[in-house]
Amino acid sequence: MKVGTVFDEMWADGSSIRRPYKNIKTWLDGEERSSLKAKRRDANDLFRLTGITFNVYGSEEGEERLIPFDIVPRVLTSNEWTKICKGLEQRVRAINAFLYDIYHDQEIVKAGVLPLEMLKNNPAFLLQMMGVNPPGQIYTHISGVDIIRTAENEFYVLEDNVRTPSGVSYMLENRETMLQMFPELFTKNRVQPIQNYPQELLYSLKHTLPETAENKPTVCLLTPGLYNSAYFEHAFLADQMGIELVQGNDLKVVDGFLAMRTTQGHRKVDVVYKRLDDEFLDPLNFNEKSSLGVPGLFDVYRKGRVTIANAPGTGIADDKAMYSFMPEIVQFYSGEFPLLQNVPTWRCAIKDQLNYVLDNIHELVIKRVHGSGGYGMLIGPTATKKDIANFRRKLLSTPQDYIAQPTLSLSTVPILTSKGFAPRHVDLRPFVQMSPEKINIVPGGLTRVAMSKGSLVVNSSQGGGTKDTWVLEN
Amino acid sequence: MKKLNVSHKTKYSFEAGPLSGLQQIKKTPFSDSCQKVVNWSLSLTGAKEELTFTDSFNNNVNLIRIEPGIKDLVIECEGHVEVTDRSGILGYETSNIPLWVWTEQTNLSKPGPGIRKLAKSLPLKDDISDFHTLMELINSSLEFQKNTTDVETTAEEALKKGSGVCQDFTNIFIACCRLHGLPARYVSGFLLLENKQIQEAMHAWAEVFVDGLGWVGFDTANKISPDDRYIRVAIGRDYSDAAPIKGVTLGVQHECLSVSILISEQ
Repeated sequence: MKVGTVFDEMWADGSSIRRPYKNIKTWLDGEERSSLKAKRRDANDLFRLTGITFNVYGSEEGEERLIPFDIVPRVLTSNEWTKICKGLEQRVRAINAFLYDIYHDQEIVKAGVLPLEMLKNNPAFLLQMMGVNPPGQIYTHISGVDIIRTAENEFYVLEDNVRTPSGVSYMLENRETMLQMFPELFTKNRVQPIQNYPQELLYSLKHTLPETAENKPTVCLLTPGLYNSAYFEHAFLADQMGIELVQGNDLKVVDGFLAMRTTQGHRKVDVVYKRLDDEFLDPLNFNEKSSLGVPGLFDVYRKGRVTIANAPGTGIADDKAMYSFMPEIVQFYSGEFPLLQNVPTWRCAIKDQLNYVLDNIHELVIKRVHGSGGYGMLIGPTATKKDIANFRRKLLSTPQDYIAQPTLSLSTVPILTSKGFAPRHVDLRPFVQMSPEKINIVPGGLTRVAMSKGSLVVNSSQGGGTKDTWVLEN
Repeated sequence: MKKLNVSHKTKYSFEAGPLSGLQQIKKTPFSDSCQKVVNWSLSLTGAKEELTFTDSFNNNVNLIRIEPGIKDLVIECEGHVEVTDRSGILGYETSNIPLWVWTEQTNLSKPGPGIRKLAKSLPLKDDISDFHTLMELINSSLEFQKNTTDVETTAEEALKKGSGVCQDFTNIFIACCRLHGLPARYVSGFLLLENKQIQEAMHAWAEVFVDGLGWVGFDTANKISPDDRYIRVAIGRDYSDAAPIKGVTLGVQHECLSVSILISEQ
């Protein structure tokens, strides 16, 4: 891994354009700058009209923000994509096998590959899931695996998201917007389609059924409601899949099955696409103060009468401390070397590693083990003295809550700024669907881009934007 | 071996009936190396059964829904269990729960200075007599007294108070074992008393995993290991996992609870 040099996906080392971006350059060169800017404004207006906004936690009360959209697509070749897909498939299969093992015999602990300490006192480990056999043995129906690129042939996994991965609606809307604004681009370039994602998702949910499901299974999407940051996405996906969008109080245990209130009375539900944190899922079995969940839902699940996607308890596989064991986990279950590499990670819970982190804090990124969305993170090279002092204190008082990684030079792709085109750092979140039959990976995924110069933070909660992501046909 | 008859009735009276309510009932024993459940039935008045399942501890659970607006909810269990006296030694068993889980303290067993001091005074390992000494020790610091503690009282709080019921004796015993790194768990069950006494609550005791023996029971409140008068019903890390009734009820006013348990020998 090269630290310090930046790989630009359009210009590589700066001298000549990379092949996959040739058509993009021709297109951009042929357009008036002012008309492109006008189109960018139109695109953002379109997003505002469709209502694609994002609630930001920790900011002014209920602030809704538009995620900035950039019109320059991010392009991957078919070869690059095939390589990434192989790695993703291996990783997601291993994570699913890992979850089955953790909630059954814990062979990986007995084999001494994973220290028991990783499970002890870990709030993401759900004792209630022990011995549960989820329909089709699937835990991770949907995974969002964050990938970064640092060079021509270097891709790393930065994070696995297997609790309730979000962002796919942006991926779909970005493509929709590009198709509307620049239809000619898609006649000149052979871009792999992504629009069937919702149908593929529905297919994969309908093929992971409980044994009690009948011919025409009912699937619904369970949302915590309007105030959740991803509510737009919940409504969007339910609409696209043609399934009901429900909240906890729309669901009830009726005659031993899960049922949904409809105008014609209760209807049995076979699959719940859950977009709610486990803790709030069922006040009878988890946090009793939750008013968002469905009392008894987990009992019906335990009885094998409903599918919950993703399964409760998957969070044990995606916290940032577990991430550091992912190479061992992949190898343990697949018997192969990981095709996708991890970013080197220091676990602050270990004294030697903590000391290293404290000594090199200026060069490292420090992350909370149980955090997400880029909240509570320190980027050493750009942090203020005050921030660093603050994090030192946190590291010393609760080291087990933190991991550290080198500050990687994420690759850049140009964006259109008010002063013309300029490179900005990007990452990629591909979405992987899993059913007992197959693994399906939508070509591309969501490219997130840090909108300000030099910034490495791509999270939308921290002002990051998005781009359309192209995977070219072979 | 004893053949025991159990009759267990729980009655809730509501001044204003509940709007809705769902409860998990853990009152049905399972067969194991010490006991054989010959027959068992659970009947409900004012509620209906949604489903039955076994939880991750292998406890039998009935999920019931209280009918809206009812004034009385009655849960009645009747059954017949054959129990063998094996000096409290349950032995090895297959379980979904790995042993390490039982070594973790919970909110109710979490030790403070009092428990630490108590546990430190003993070498707990694989000598059964040490556990009997521990029971003696707990009994010399705790008096059996009703209504001084409740289901949320922690082991440390009860020890400080110096009084409690079987739950508290058990919580303290478990906390001490876990401090020594031993897997220990909570058992809720029935106990045959002399003279056909009507009991107002289920009994509770502890089990410790001892190398070479497997799980061994210790009834701290009575300072003995369970024999053929004891029926195991549910296990858990502490009371909250094994509670006979756990539920969410909406819109309840002034509920009044009465329990009567009669255990008799055939």
